[in-house]
Amino acid sequence: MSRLLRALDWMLDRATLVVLILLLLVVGAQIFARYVLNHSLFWSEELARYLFIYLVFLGAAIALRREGHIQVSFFVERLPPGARRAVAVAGDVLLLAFAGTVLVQSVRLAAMVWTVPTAALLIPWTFVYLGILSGMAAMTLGALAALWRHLTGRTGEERAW
Amino acid sequence: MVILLLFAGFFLLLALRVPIAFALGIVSLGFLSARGEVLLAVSQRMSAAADSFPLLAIPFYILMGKLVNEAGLTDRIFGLAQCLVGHIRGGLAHVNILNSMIFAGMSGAAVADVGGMGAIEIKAMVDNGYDVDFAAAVTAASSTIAPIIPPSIAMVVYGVLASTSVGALFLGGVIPGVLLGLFMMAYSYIVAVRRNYPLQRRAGLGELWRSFRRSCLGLLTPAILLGGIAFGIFTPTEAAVVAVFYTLLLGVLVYRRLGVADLVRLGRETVEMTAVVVFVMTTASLFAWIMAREQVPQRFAEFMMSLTANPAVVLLLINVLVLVMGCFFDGISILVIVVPILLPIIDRLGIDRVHFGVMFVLNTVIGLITPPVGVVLYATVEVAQISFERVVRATLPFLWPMLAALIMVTYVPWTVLVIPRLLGFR
Repeated sequence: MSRLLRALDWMLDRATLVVLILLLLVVGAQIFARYVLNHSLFWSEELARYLFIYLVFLGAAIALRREGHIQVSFFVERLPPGARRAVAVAGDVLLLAFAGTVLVQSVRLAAMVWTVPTAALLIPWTFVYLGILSGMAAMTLGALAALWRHLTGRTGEERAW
Repeated sequence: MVILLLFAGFFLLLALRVPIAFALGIVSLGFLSARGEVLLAVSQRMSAAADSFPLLAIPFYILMGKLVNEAGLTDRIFGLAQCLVGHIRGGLAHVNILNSMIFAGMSGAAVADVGGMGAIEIKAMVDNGYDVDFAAAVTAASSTIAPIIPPSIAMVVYGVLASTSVGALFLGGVIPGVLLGLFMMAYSYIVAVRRNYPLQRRAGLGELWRSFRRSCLGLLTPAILLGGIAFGIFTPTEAAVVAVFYTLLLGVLVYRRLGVADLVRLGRETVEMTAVVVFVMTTASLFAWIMAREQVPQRFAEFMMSLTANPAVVLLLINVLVLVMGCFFDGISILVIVVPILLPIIDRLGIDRVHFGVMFVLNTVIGLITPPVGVVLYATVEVAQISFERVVRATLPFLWPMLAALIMVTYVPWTVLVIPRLLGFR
Protein backbone atom coordinates (compact mmCIF):
# COMPACT_ATOMS: atom_id res chain seq x y z
CA MET A 1 0.00 0.00 0.00
CA SER A 2 2.67 2.51 0.96
CA ARG A 3 4.68 1.64 -2.17
CA LEU A 4 1.64 2.33 -4.29
CA LEU A 5 1.07 5.64 -2.55
CA ARG A 6 4.66 6.67 -3.02
CA ALA A 7 4.41 5.89 -6.72
CA LEU A 8 1.18 7.89 -6.86
CA ASP A 9 2.77 10.93 -5.19
CA TRP A 10 5.78 10.70 -7.48
CA MET A 11 3.63 10.57 -10.59
CA LEU A 12 1.35 13.41 -9.49
CA ASP A 13 4.36 15.57 -8.69
CA ARG A 14 6.11 15.02 -12.02
CA ALA A 15 2.94 15.16 -14.11
CA THR A 16 1.82 18.50 -12.68
CA LEU A 17 5.27 20.07 -13.03
CA VAL A 18 5.37 19.00 -16.68
CA VAL A 19 1.89 20.40 -17.25
CA LEU A 20 2.87 23.71 -15.62
CA ILE A 21 5.93 24.03 -17.88
CA LEU A 22 3.87 23.10 -20.95
CA LEU A 23 1.32 25.75 -20.02
CA LEU A 24 4.00 28.42 -19.85
CA LEU A 25 5.42 27.31 -23.19
CA VAL A 26 2.07 27.09 -24.98
CA VAL A 27 0.83 30.51 -23.87
CA GLY A 28 4.33 31.90 -24.46
CA ALA A 29 4.26 30.49 -28.00
CA GLN A 30 0.84 32.05 -28.55
CA ILE A 31 2.13 35.51 -27.63
CA PHE A 32 5.34 35.05 -29.62
CA ALA A 33 3.43 33.95 -32.70
CA ARG A 34 0.99 36.81 -32.51
CA TYR A 35 3.37 39.69 -31.82
CA VAL A 36 6.58 38.56 -33.42
CA LEU A 37 5.47 36.30 -36.24
CA ASN A 38 2.20 38.15 -36.82
CA HIS A 39 0.40 34.86 -37.02
CA SER A 40 -2.25 33.66 -34.58
CA LEU A 41 -1.99 30.04 -33.54
CA PHE A 42 -5.32 28.26 -33.83
CA TRP A 43 -4.56 25.53 -31.32
CA SER A 44 -2.74 27.25 -28.47
CA GLU A 45 -5.67 28.59 -26.45
CA GLU A 46 -7.60 25.34 -26.56
CA LEU A 47 -4.55 23.26 -25.69
CA ALA A 48 -3.74 25.58 -22.77
CA ARG A 49 -7.27 25.35 -21.42
CA TYR A 50 -7.26 21.56 -21.55
CA LEU A 51 -3.82 21.32 -19.95
CA PHE A 52 -5.11 23.56 -17.19
CA ILE A 53 -7.93 21.11 -16.43
CA TYR A 54 -5.29 18.43 -15.81
CA LEU A 55 -3.32 20.83 -13.60
CA VAL A 56 -6.40 21.61 -11.51
CA PHE A 57 -7.61 18.07 -10.87
CA LEU A 58 -4.21 16.41 -10.48
CA GLY A 59 -3.10 19.34 -8.30
CA ALA A 60 -6.24 18.93 -6.19
CA ALA A 61 -5.19 15.31 -5.59
CA ILE A 62 -1.76 16.54 -4.44
CA ALA A 63 -3.43 19.03 -2.12
CA LEU A 64 -5.61 16.24 -0.75
CA ARG A 65 -2.52 14.10 -0.03
CA ARG A 66 -0.80 17.01 1.74
CA GLU A 67 -3.97 18.19 3.50
CA GLY A 68 -3.58 21.48 1.67
CA HIS A 69 -7.27 22.12 0.93
CA ILE A 70 -8.89 24.89 2.89
CA GLN A 71 -10.72 23.51 5.90
CA VAL A 72 -12.08 24.79 9.18
CA SER A 73 -10.29 23.09 12.09
CA PHE A 74 -11.75 25.41 14.69
CA PHE A 75 -14.45 23.08 16.05
CA VAL A 76 -12.76 19.71 15.63
CA GLU A 77 -9.75 20.85 17.65
CA ARG A 78 -12.05 21.30 20.63
CA LEU A 79 -13.20 17.66 20.59
CA PRO A 80 -11.69 14.84 22.69
CA PRO A 81 -9.22 12.62 20.74
CA GLY A 82 -11.64 9.70 20.33
CA ALA A 83 -14.39 11.86 18.85
CA ARG A 84 -11.84 13.62 16.68
CA ARG A 85 -10.82 10.32 15.16
CA ALA A 86 -14.44 9.31 14.55
CA VAL A 87 -15.05 12.63 12.81
CA ALA A 88 -11.95 12.15 10.68
CA VAL A 89 -13.10 8.67 9.61
CA ALA A 90 -16.58 9.96 8.76
CA GLY A 91 -15.04 12.75 6.71
CA ASP A 92 -12.81 10.28 4.86
CA VAL A 93 -15.77 8.06 4.00
CA LEU A 94 -17.72 11.00 2.57
CA LEU A 95 -14.69 12.13 0.60
CA LEU A 96 -14.17 8.65 -0.73
CA ALA A 97 -17.82 8.42 -1.75
CA PHE A 98 -17.61 11.76 -3.55
CA ALA A 99 -14.35 11.07 -5.38
CA GLY A 100 -15.46 7.54 -6.26
CA THR A 101 -18.83 8.67 -7.63
CA VAL A 102 -17.32 11.42 -9.74
CA LEU A 103 -14.67 8.97 -10.94
CA VAL A 104 -17.31 6.51 -12.16
CA GLN A 105 -19.24 9.30 -13.90
CA SER A 106 -16.05 10.59 -15.49
CA VAL A 107 -15.25 7.15 -16.89
CA ARG A 108 -18.74 6.90 -18.39
CA LEU A 109 -18.51 10.43 -19.78
CA ALA A 110 -15.05 9.90 -21.25
CA ALA A 111 -16.15 6.69 -22.96
CA MET A 112 -19.24 8.35 -24.37
CA VAL A 113 -17.46 11.22 -26.14
CA TRP A 114 -14.78 9.19 -27.93
CA THR A 115 -16.27 10.08 -31.31
CA VAL A 116 -16.80 13.77 -30.52
CA PRO A 117 -13.88 15.94 -31.70
CA THR A 118 -12.87 19.22 -29.98
CA ALA A 119 -13.25 22.50 -31.85
CA ALA A 120 -9.67 23.36 -32.74
CA LEU A 121 -7.42 20.39 -32.07
CA LEU A 122 -9.94 17.84 -33.40
CA ILE A 123 -8.92 15.29 -30.76
CA PRO A 124 -11.61 13.18 -29.07
CA TRP A 125 -13.23 14.92 -26.07
CA THR A 126 -12.18 11.83 -24.14
CA PHE A 127 -8.76 13.41 -23.73
CA VAL A 128 -10.29 16.48 -22.08
CA TYR A 129 -12.29 14.40 -19.61
CA LEU A 130 -9.24 12.30 -18.81
CA GLY A 131 -8.16 15.31 -16.73
CA ILE A 132 -10.99 15.04 -14.20
CA LEU A 133 -10.91 11.24 -14.53
CA SER A 134 -7.25 10.89 -13.54
CA GLY A 135 -7.58 13.53 -10.83
CA MET A 136 -10.58 11.76 -9.29
CA ALA A 137 -8.82 8.39 -9.52
CA ALA A 138 -5.88 9.85 -7.59
CA MET A 139 -8.24 11.48 -5.09
CA THR A 140 -10.08 8.18 -4.58
CA LEU A 141 -6.77 6.53 -3.75
CA GLY A 142 -5.81 9.49 -1.54
CA ALA A 143 -9.11 9.29 0.35
CA LEU A 144 -8.64 5.52 0.80
CA ALA A 145 -5.16 6.13 2.19
CA ALA A 146 -6.45 8.77 4.61
CA LEU A 147 -9.23 6.43 5.74
CA TRP A 148 -6.73 3.62 6.31
CA ARG A 149 -4.46 5.99 8.24
CA HIS A 150 -7.26 7.22 10.50
CA LEU A 151 -8.65 3.70 11.08
CA THR A 152 -5.33 2.10 11.97
CA GLY A 153 -4.17 5.19 13.82
CA ARG A 154 -0.91 5.17 11.91
CA THR A 155 0.26 8.67 11.08
CA GLY A 156 3.26 10.22 9.43
CA GLU A 157 3.60 7.85 6.51
CA GLU A 158 6.61 8.78 4.45
CA ARG A 159 6.14 10.82 1.31
CA ALA A 160 7.95 10.82 -1.99
CA TRP A 161 9.47 14.25 -1.39
CA MET B 1 -36.85 24.19 2.48
CA VAL B 2 -34.65 21.71 0.65
CA ILE B 3 -32.17 24.53 0.10
CA LEU B 4 -31.98 25.21 3.84
CA LEU B 5 -31.17 21.54 4.32
CA LEU B 6 -28.45 21.85 1.71
CA PHE B 7 -26.88 24.78 3.54
CA ALA B 8 -27.23 23.04 6.91
CA GLY B 9 -25.46 19.99 5.52
CA PHE B 10 -22.73 22.16 4.10
CA PHE B 11 -22.05 23.91 7.41
CA LEU B 12 -22.17 20.63 9.30
CA LEU B 13 -19.52 19.17 6.99
CA LEU B 14 -17.38 22.27 7.42
CA ALA B 15 -17.59 21.97 11.19
CA LEU B 16 -16.42 18.38 10.83
CA ARG B 17 -13.31 19.61 9.00
CA VAL B 18 -14.30 18.37 5.58
CA PRO B 19 -12.42 20.73 3.22
CA ILE B 20 -14.72 23.46 1.82
CA ALA B 21 -14.26 22.29 -1.78
CA PHE B 22 -15.34 18.74 -0.94
CA ALA B 23 -18.16 19.87 1.35
CA LEU B 24 -19.67 21.80 -1.58
CA GLY B 25 -19.28 18.78 -3.84
CA ILE B 26 -20.67 16.27 -1.35
CA VAL B 27 -23.85 18.19 -0.53
CA SER B 28 -24.44 18.91 -4.22
CA LEU B 29 -23.95 15.29 -5.18
CA GLY B 30 -26.17 14.20 -2.30
CA PHE B 31 -28.91 16.56 -3.43
CA LEU B 32 -28.75 15.37 -7.04
CA SER B 33 -28.78 11.67 -6.09
CA ALA B 34 -31.68 12.23 -3.69
CA ARG B 35 -33.59 13.71 -6.62
CA GLY B 36 -32.70 10.63 -8.64
CA GLU B 37 -30.93 12.64 -11.32
CA VAL B 38 -28.42 11.43 -13.89
CA LEU B 39 -25.01 12.25 -12.44
CA LEU B 40 -23.14 12.31 -15.73
CA ALA B 41 -23.49 16.09 -15.86
CA VAL B 42 -21.49 16.37 -12.63
CA SER B 43 -18.16 15.50 -14.25
CA GLN B 44 -19.02 17.57 -17.27
CA ARG B 45 -19.88 20.66 -15.22
CA MET B 46 -16.85 20.38 -12.95
CA SER B 47 -14.59 20.07 -15.96
CA ALA B 48 -16.27 23.01 -17.68
CA ALA B 49 -15.77 25.19 -14.60
CA ALA B 50 -11.99 24.82 -14.93
CA ASP B 51 -12.09 25.16 -18.73
CA SER B 52 -11.53 28.91 -18.99
CA PHE B 53 -8.71 30.93 -20.53
CA PRO B 54 -8.98 33.82 -17.99
CA LEU B 55 -8.55 31.31 -15.13
CA LEU B 56 -5.20 30.30 -16.59
CA ALA B 57 -3.86 33.59 -15.29
CA ILE B 58 -4.03 32.18 -11.75
CA PRO B 59 -1.02 29.80 -11.82
CA PHE B 60 1.03 32.41 -13.64
CA TYR B 61 0.30 35.17 -11.13
CA ILE B 62 1.00 32.81 -8.25
CA LEU B 63 4.29 31.76 -9.83
CA MET B 64 5.24 35.36 -10.56
CA GLY B 65 4.58 36.41 -6.95
CA LYS B 66 6.80 33.58 -5.72
CA LEU B 67 9.56 34.36 -8.23
CA VAL B 68 9.52 38.07 -7.39
CA ASN B 69 9.94 37.27 -3.71
CA GLU B 70 13.09 35.26 -4.34
CA ALA B 71 14.52 36.87 -7.46
CA GLY B 72 16.63 39.35 -5.50
CA LEU B 73 14.27 42.30 -5.87
CA THR B 74 13.16 42.62 -2.28
CA ASP B 75 16.10 44.62 -0.86
CA ARG B 76 16.23 46.88 -3.88
CA ILE B 77 12.59 47.88 -3.70
CA PHE B 78 12.73 48.22 0.08
CA GLY B 79 15.64 50.65 -0.46
CA LEU B 80 13.62 52.68 -2.93
CA ALA B 81 10.62 52.87 -0.60
CA GLN B 82 12.97 54.00 2.16
CA CYS B 83 14.26 56.89 0.04
CA LEU B 84 10.71 57.91 -0.86
CA VAL B 85 8.85 57.97 2.47
CA GLY B 86 11.44 57.23 5.18
CA HIS B 87 11.60 60.87 6.26
CA ILE B 88 7.96 61.04 7.36
CA ARG B 89 7.27 60.57 11.09
CA GLY B 90 7.04 56.82 11.66
CA GLY B 91 9.21 56.41 8.57
CA LEU B 92 9.64 52.66 8.47
CA ALA B 93 5.91 52.04 8.91
CA HIS B 94 5.30 54.08 5.76
CA VAL B 95 8.19 52.33 4.03
CA ASN B 96 6.61 49.00 4.95
CA ILE B 97 3.24 50.04 3.51
CA LEU B 98 4.66 51.58 0.32
CA ASN B 99 6.82 48.50 -0.15
CA SER B 100 3.71 46.30 0.09
CA MET B 101 1.97 48.53 -2.43
CA ILE B 102 4.81 48.16 -4.94
CA PHE B 103 4.94 44.40 -4.38
CA ALA B 104 1.16 44.29 -4.74
CA GLY B 105 1.84 45.24 -8.34
CA MET B 106 3.70 41.97 -8.80
CA SER B 107 1.80 39.64 -6.51
CA GLY B 108 -1.78 38.48 -6.54
CA ALA B 109 -2.17 37.17 -3.01
CA ALA B 110 -1.61 38.55 0.47
CA VAL B 111 0.22 35.70 2.14
CA ALA B 112 3.02 35.84 -0.44
CA ASP B 113 3.68 39.36 0.75
CA VAL B 114 3.97 38.51 4.46
CA GLY B 115 6.10 35.45 3.82
CA GLY B 116 8.51 37.14 1.43
CA MET B 117 8.90 40.70 2.63
CA GLY B 118 7.58 40.44 6.17
CA ALA B 119 10.80 39.23 7.73
CA ILE B 120 12.88 42.11 6.30
CA GLU B 121 10.24 44.70 7.14
CA ILE B 122 9.74 43.60 10.72
CA LYS B 123 13.47 43.27 11.40
CA ALA B 124 14.17 46.76 10.02
CA MET B 125 11.42 48.26 12.18
CA VAL B 126 12.45 46.50 15.38
CA ASP B 127 16.12 47.46 14.84
CA ASN B 128 15.02 51.07 14.65
CA GLY B 129 13.11 51.13 17.92
CA TYR B 130 9.57 50.18 16.91
CA ASP B 131 7.53 47.73 19.04
CA VAL B 132 7.56 44.31 17.44
CA ASP B 133 3.76 44.26 17.86
CA PHE B 134 3.30 47.40 15.79
CA ALA B 135 5.81 46.19 13.21
CA ALA B 136 3.89 42.90 12.89
CA ALA B 137 0.58 44.79 12.65
CA VAL B 138 1.79 47.09 9.86
CA THR B 139 3.19 44.10 7.97
CA ALA B 140 -0.01 42.08 8.32
CA ALA B 141 -2.34 44.95 7.45
CA SER B 142 -0.36 46.24 4.49
CA SER B 143 -0.07 42.77 2.96
CA THR B 144 -3.83 42.86 2.37
CA ILE B 145 -3.24 45.47 -0.35
CA ALA B 146 -1.83 42.74 -2.64
CA PRO B 147 -5.20 41.37 -3.83
CA ILE B 148 -6.53 44.90 -4.52
CA ILE B 149 -3.71 46.43 -6.55
CA PRO B 150 -3.43 44.38 -9.76
CA PRO B 151 -2.69 41.61 -10.42
CA SER B 152 -5.17 39.82 -8.19
CA ILE B 153 -6.14 36.17 -8.02
CA ALA B 154 -9.39 37.00 -6.24
CA MET B 155 -10.39 39.36 -9.04
CA VAL B 156 -9.66 36.71 -11.68
CA VAL B 157 -11.98 34.37 -9.77
CA TYR B 158 -14.68 37.06 -9.49
CA GLY B 159 -14.29 37.99 -13.15
CA VAL B 160 -14.91 34.40 -14.22
CA LEU B 161 -17.82 33.90 -11.78
CA ALA B 162 -19.52 37.14 -12.85
CA SER B 163 -18.48 36.96 -16.54
CA THR B 164 -16.87 40.36 -16.17
CA SER B 165 -13.68 41.65 -17.80
CA VAL B 166 -10.68 40.76 -15.63
CA GLY B 167 -8.78 43.66 -17.20
CA ALA B 168 -11.46 46.14 -16.12
CA LEU B 169 -11.46 44.68 -12.58
CA PHE B 170 -7.66 44.94 -12.36
CA LEU B 171 -7.68 48.59 -13.46
CA GLY B 172 -10.63 49.24 -11.14
CA GLY B 173 -8.53 48.05 -8.21
CA VAL B 174 -5.78 50.61 -8.70
CA ILE B 175 -7.34 53.60 -6.92
CA PRO B 176 -8.94 51.55 -4.12
CA GLY B 177 -5.57 49.88 -3.50
CA VAL B 178 -3.77 53.20 -3.33
CA LEU B 179 -6.50 54.58 -1.05
CA LEU B 180 -6.14 51.58 1.23
CA GLY B 181 -2.39 52.22 1.47
CA LEU B 182 -2.79 55.95 2.08
CA PHE B 183 -5.38 55.38 4.81
CA MET B 184 -3.05 52.92 6.52
CA MET B 185 -0.21 55.43 6.29
CA ALA B 186 -2.43 58.10 7.83
CA TYR B 187 -3.29 55.78 10.71
CA SER B 188 0.39 54.83 11.17
CA TYR B 189 1.29 58.53 11.22
CA ILE B 190 -1.11 59.16 14.09
CA VAL B 191 0.32 56.20 16.04
CA ALA B 192 3.88 57.32 15.29
CA VAL B 193 3.30 60.85 16.55
CA ARG B 194 1.64 59.54 19.71
CA ARG B 195 4.40 57.05 20.48
CA ASN B 196 7.14 59.31 19.17
CA TYR B 197 8.49 56.81 16.67
CA PRO B 198 11.61 57.87 14.78
CA LEU B 199 11.90 59.19 11.27
CA GLN B 200 14.84 58.86 8.94
CA ARG B 201 17.02 61.45 7.30
CA ARG B 202 15.53 62.68 4.04
CA ALA B 203 17.32 61.07 1.12
CA GLY B 204 19.06 63.41 -1.31
CA LEU B 205 18.20 63.46 -4.97
CA GLY B 206 21.38 61.58 -5.88
CA GLU B 207 20.54 58.85 -3.39
CA LEU B 208 16.98 58.65 -4.67
CA TRP B 209 18.25 58.34 -8.26
CA ARG B 210 20.68 55.57 -7.29
CA SER B 211 18.02 53.57 -5.44
CA PHE B 212 15.67 54.03 -8.38
CA ARG B 213 18.30 52.76 -10.79
CA ARG B 214 18.97 49.79 -8.58
CA SER B 215 15.30 48.81 -8.55
CA CYS B 216 14.13 49.91 -12.00
CA LEU B 217 14.54 46.46 -13.57
CA GLY B 218 12.19 45.11 -10.90
CA LEU B 219 9.74 47.98 -11.33
CA LEU B 220 9.39 47.02 -14.97
CA THR B 221 7.40 43.92 -13.92
CA PRO B 222 4.32 45.84 -12.74
CA ALA B 223 4.81 48.28 -15.61
CA ILE B 224 4.68 45.48 -18.20
CA LEU B 225 1.66 43.96 -16.52
CA LEU B 226 -0.42 47.05 -15.97
CA GLY B 227 0.64 48.84 -19.14
CA GLY B 228 0.09 45.74 -21.25
CA ILE B 229 -3.42 45.24 -19.89
CA ALA B 230 -4.38 48.94 -19.78
CA PHE B 231 -3.52 49.56 -23.43
CA GLY B 232 -5.03 46.31 -24.61
CA ILE B 233 -1.72 44.80 -25.73
CA PHE B 234 -2.10 41.65 -23.65
CA THR B 235 -5.00 39.83 -22.05
CA PRO B 236 -4.47 39.45 -18.29
CA THR B 237 -3.46 35.81 -18.88
CA GLU B 238 -0.87 36.71 -21.51
CA ALA B 239 0.44 39.58 -19.41
CA ALA B 240 0.98 37.09 -16.59
CA VAL B 241 3.05 34.80 -18.81
CA VAL B 242 5.17 37.68 -20.11
CA ALA B 243 5.75 38.82 -16.53
CA VAL B 244 6.73 35.29 -15.48
CA PHE B 245 9.29 35.04 -18.28
CA TYR B 246 10.63 38.49 -17.45
CA THR B 247 10.96 37.71 -13.72
CA LEU B 248 12.63 34.39 -14.57
CA LEU B 249 15.14 36.29 -16.68
CA LEU B 250 15.85 38.67 -13.79
CA GLY B 251 16.07 35.98 -11.13
CA VAL B 252 18.05 33.42 -13.09
CA LEU B 253 20.28 35.44 -15.42
CA VAL B 254 20.52 39.02 -14.10
CA TYR B 255 20.57 38.67 -10.31
CA ARG B 256 21.47 34.95 -10.34
CA ARG B 257 19.44 34.17 -7.23
CA LEU B 258 17.33 31.31 -8.58
CA GLY B 259 18.64 27.84 -9.38
CA VAL B 260 16.87 24.81 -10.80
CA ALA B 261 16.06 23.46 -7.33
CA ASP B 262 14.37 26.74 -6.37
CA LEU B 263 12.35 26.74 -9.56
CA VAL B 264 11.13 23.18 -9.00
CA ARG B 265 10.13 24.02 -5.41
CA LEU B 266 8.29 27.19 -6.48
CA GLY B 267 6.64 25.24 -9.30
CA ARG B 268 5.34 22.66 -6.83
CA GLU B 269 3.99 25.34 -4.52
CA THR B 270 2.33 27.02 -7.50
CA VAL B 271 0.63 23.78 -8.61
CA GLU B 272 -0.82 23.12 -5.18
CA MET B 273 -1.99 26.69 -4.56
CA THR B 274 -3.58 26.93 -8.02
CA ALA B 275 -5.37 23.64 -7.62
CA VAL B 276 -6.73 24.62 -4.22
CA VAL B 277 -8.19 27.85 -5.61
CA VAL B 278 -9.65 26.43 -8.83
CA PHE B 279 -10.82 23.05 -7.49
CA VAL B 280 -13.17 24.85 -5.10
CA MET B 281 -14.55 26.68 -8.15
CA THR B 282 -15.33 23.36 -9.85
CA THR B 283 -17.34 21.95 -6.94
CA ALA B 284 -18.91 25.34 -6.22
CA SER B 285 -20.16 25.32 -9.81
CA LEU B 286 -22.29 22.28 -8.91
CA PHE B 287 -23.63 24.12 -5.89
CA ALA B 288 -24.38 27.25 -7.93
CA TRP B 289 -26.09 25.15 -10.60
CA ILE B 290 -28.46 23.67 -8.00
CA MET B 291 -29.09 27.12 -6.56
CA ALA B 292 -29.92 28.48 -10.01
CA ARG B 293 -32.28 25.59 -10.79
CA GLU B 294 -34.08 26.12 -7.52
CA GLN B 295 -34.22 29.82 -8.37
CA VAL B 296 -32.52 30.80 -5.14
CA PRO B 297 -30.79 33.91 -6.59
CA GLN B 298 -34.08 35.21 -8.06
CA ARG B 299 -36.02 34.52 -4.89
CA PHE B 300 -33.29 36.12 -2.80
CA ALA B 301 -33.38 39.19 -5.04
CA GLU B 302 -37.15 39.44 -4.67
CA PHE B 303 -36.86 39.07 -0.92
CA MET B 304 -34.26 41.84 -0.71
CA MET B 305 -36.29 44.09 -2.99
CA SER B 306 -39.30 43.61 -0.74
CA LEU B 307 -37.21 44.90 2.16
CA THR B 308 -35.63 47.80 0.34
CA ALA B 309 -34.96 48.94 -3.20
CA ASN B 310 -32.29 51.35 -2.07
CA PRO B 311 -28.90 50.29 -3.52
CA ALA B 312 -27.03 52.01 -0.67
CA VAL B 313 -28.83 49.91 1.93
CA VAL B 314 -28.45 46.68 -0.05
CA LEU B 315 -24.71 47.29 -0.43
CA LEU B 316 -24.47 47.97 3.29
CA LEU B 317 -26.23 44.68 4.09
CA ILE B 318 -24.03 42.76 1.65
CA ASN B 319 -20.90 44.31 3.14
CA VAL B 320 -21.94 43.37 6.67
CA LEU B 321 -22.70 39.80 5.55
CA VAL B 322 -19.34 39.42 3.81
CA LEU B 323 -17.45 40.95 6.75
CA VAL B 324 -19.03 38.41 9.10
CA MET B 325 -18.28 35.56 6.71
CA GLY B 326 -14.73 36.88 6.41
CA CYS B 327 -14.13 36.13 10.07
CA PHE B 328 -14.61 32.41 9.35
CA PHE B 329 -13.89 31.77 5.66
CA ASP B 330 -11.21 32.70 3.18
CA GLY B 331 -12.01 35.16 0.42
CA ILE B 332 -12.10 32.70 -2.48
CA SER B 333 -14.60 30.44 -0.71
CA ILE B 334 -16.84 33.42 0.03
CA LEU B 335 -16.64 34.52 -3.59
CA VAL B 336 -17.57 31.14 -5.08
CA ILE B 337 -20.50 30.60 -2.69
CA VAL B 338 -21.96 34.10 -2.46
CA VAL B 339 -21.34 35.86 -5.79
CA PRO B 340 -23.61 33.63 -7.95
CA ILE B 341 -26.44 34.20 -5.47
CA LEU B 342 -26.00 37.98 -5.36
CA LEU B 343 -25.60 38.77 -9.06
CA PRO B 344 -29.34 39.05 -9.90
CA ILE B 345 -29.98 41.64 -7.21
CA ILE B 346 -26.89 43.60 -8.21
CA ASP B 347 -28.06 43.70 -11.80
CA ARG B 348 -31.59 44.61 -10.86
CA LEU B 349 -30.43 47.55 -8.76
CA GLY B 350 -28.26 48.76 -11.62
CA ILE B 351 -25.00 48.37 -9.70
CA ASP B 352 -21.99 47.99 -12.00
CA ARG B 353 -20.49 44.48 -11.83
CA VAL B 354 -16.94 45.85 -11.91
CA HIS B 355 -17.68 48.23 -9.04
CA PHE B 356 -19.35 45.44 -7.10
CA GLY B 357 -16.44 43.06 -7.71
CA VAL B 358 -13.75 45.44 -6.49
CA MET B 359 -15.85 46.31 -3.46
CA PHE B 360 -16.44 42.63 -2.74
CA VAL B 361 -12.76 41.70 -2.97
CA LEU B 362 -11.78 44.71 -0.85
CA ASN B 363 -14.25 43.46 1.76
CA THR B 364 -12.86 39.92 1.74
CA VAL B 365 -9.26 41.10 2.27
CA ILE B 366 -10.41 42.59 5.58
CA GLY B 367 -11.21 38.99 6.52
CA LEU B 368 -7.52 38.18 6.12
CA ILE B 369 -6.81 40.01 9.38
CA THR B 370 -9.94 39.24 11.39
CA PRO B 371 -9.82 36.37 13.93
CA PRO B 372 -10.51 33.56 14.47
CA VAL B 373 -9.66 32.59 10.87
CA GLY B 374 -7.33 35.09 9.26
CA VAL B 375 -4.67 33.54 7.10
CA VAL B 376 -2.43 36.60 7.22
CA LEU B 377 -2.55 36.66 11.01
CA TYR B 378 -1.15 33.14 11.19
CA ALA B 379 1.52 33.91 8.61
CA THR B 380 2.52 36.97 10.63
CA VAL B 381 2.78 34.97 13.85
CA GLU B 382 5.40 32.81 12.16
CA VAL B 383 7.38 35.71 10.77
CA ALA B 384 7.24 37.98 13.83
CA GLN B 385 7.67 35.19 16.41
CA ILE B 386 5.09 36.62 18.82
CA SER B 387 1.86 35.04 20.04
CA PHE B 388 -1.34 34.97 18.00
CA GLU B 389 -3.15 37.06 20.63
CA ARG B 390 -0.52 39.80 20.44
CA VAL B 391 -0.65 39.92 16.64
CA VAL B 392 -4.46 40.13 16.75
CA ARG B 393 -4.52 42.88 19.36
CA ALA B 394 -1.96 44.97 17.49
CA THR B 395 -3.53 44.44 14.06
CA LEU B 396 -7.19 45.09 14.92
CA PRO B 397 -6.89 48.93 14.98
CA PHE B 398 -5.93 48.75 11.30
CA LEU B 399 -9.54 47.76 10.67
CA TRP B 400 -10.41 51.48 10.87
CA PRO B 401 -8.42 52.61 7.82
CA MET B 402 -9.55 49.46 5.99
CA LEU B 403 -13.22 50.05 6.77
CA ALA B 404 -12.81 53.70 5.75
CA ALA B 405 -11.48 52.58 2.37
CA LEU B 406 -14.31 50.04 2.04
CA ILE B 407 -16.98 52.65 2.76
CA MET B 408 -15.42 55.05 0.30
CA VAL B 409 -15.21 52.43 -2.45
CA THR B 410 -18.78 51.25 -1.74
CA TYR B 411 -20.38 54.67 -1.93
CA VAL B 412 -18.14 56.42 -4.44
CA PRO B 413 -18.22 54.06 -7.47
CA TRP B 414 -16.11 56.64 -9.32
CA THR B 415 -13.03 55.47 -7.36
CA VAL B 416 -13.32 52.08 -9.08
CA LEU B 417 -14.77 52.97 -12.45
CA VAL B 418 -12.84 56.05 -13.53
CA ILE B 419 -9.68 54.30 -14.74
CA PRO B 420 -11.32 51.43 -16.65
CA ARG B 421 -13.74 53.90 -18.29
CA LEU B 422 -11.00 56.33 -19.27
CA LEU B 423 -9.14 53.49 -20.94
CA GLY B 424 -12.23 52.38 -22.78
CA PHE B 425 -13.07 49.13 -20.98
CA ARG B 426 -16.77 49.04 -21.98
